[in-house]
Amino acid sequence: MSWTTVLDVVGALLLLLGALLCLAGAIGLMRFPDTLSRLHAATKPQTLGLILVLTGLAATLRTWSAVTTLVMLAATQFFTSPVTAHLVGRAAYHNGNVDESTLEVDELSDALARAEDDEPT
Amino acid sequence: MTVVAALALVLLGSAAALVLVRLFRGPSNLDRIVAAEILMVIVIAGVATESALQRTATNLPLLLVLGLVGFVGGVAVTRFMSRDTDDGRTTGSARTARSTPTAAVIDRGTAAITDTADTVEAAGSPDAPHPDPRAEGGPP
Repeated sequence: MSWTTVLDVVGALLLLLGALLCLAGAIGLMRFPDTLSRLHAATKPQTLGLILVLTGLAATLRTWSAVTTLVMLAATQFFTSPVTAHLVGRAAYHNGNVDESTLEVDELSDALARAEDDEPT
Repeated sequence: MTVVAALALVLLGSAAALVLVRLFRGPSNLDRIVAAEILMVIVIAGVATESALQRTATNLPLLLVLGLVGFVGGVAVTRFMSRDTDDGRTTGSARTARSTPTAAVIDRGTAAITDTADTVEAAGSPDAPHPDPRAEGGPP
């Protein structure tokens, strides 16, 4: 069993795991009741699933140019997906799409109330 | 490798079908944005599986472009959705409607008819340097 065979098997396994995580995220997106909980389900394939798929691809290709491009893609995704998630959650909160009885902690409404008190009218 | 890639593509295809159902049903546009983000990730994973199957690196710039386009599109549409919350004049939201500047002016305007001193108290800012002239001017 040579080194390349091991890398091929590892790459195939990682690709399969990433696809499985994408399916799990899609099922969560389908079944969860709320925008925020759907966001919670959606961010799993965005980071971990994509990392698994890209690591599998890197283990299959095994060239440095491919690895650097894939690392750059993974870093881009890591930096950009929290931005989108934050914006979507904030917009959901401001549009009143959030069921407040499901929230354990609601720090944003406290902060908004404080900002309202401090606001010079 | 072929079997594994086919299995991964089947998983990704069913995931994309579920996400498309969510994209169709909504209920709000924010859910559609989330679904579109996931759909972009699924497309990226599909292209990556394809290029792992072919053992070619020609698709890698395509992956990078897909990721960036998904991010920019999602942020743009989300900003469009929450556009009217920036200046604090949200309409149609029970949570923020009570705190809009317009509502505060109306409250103070009606209170100024009876007593100006109580007005500043009721507005919750006793140390306001320059009260609104419309509130001080009495009933319109």
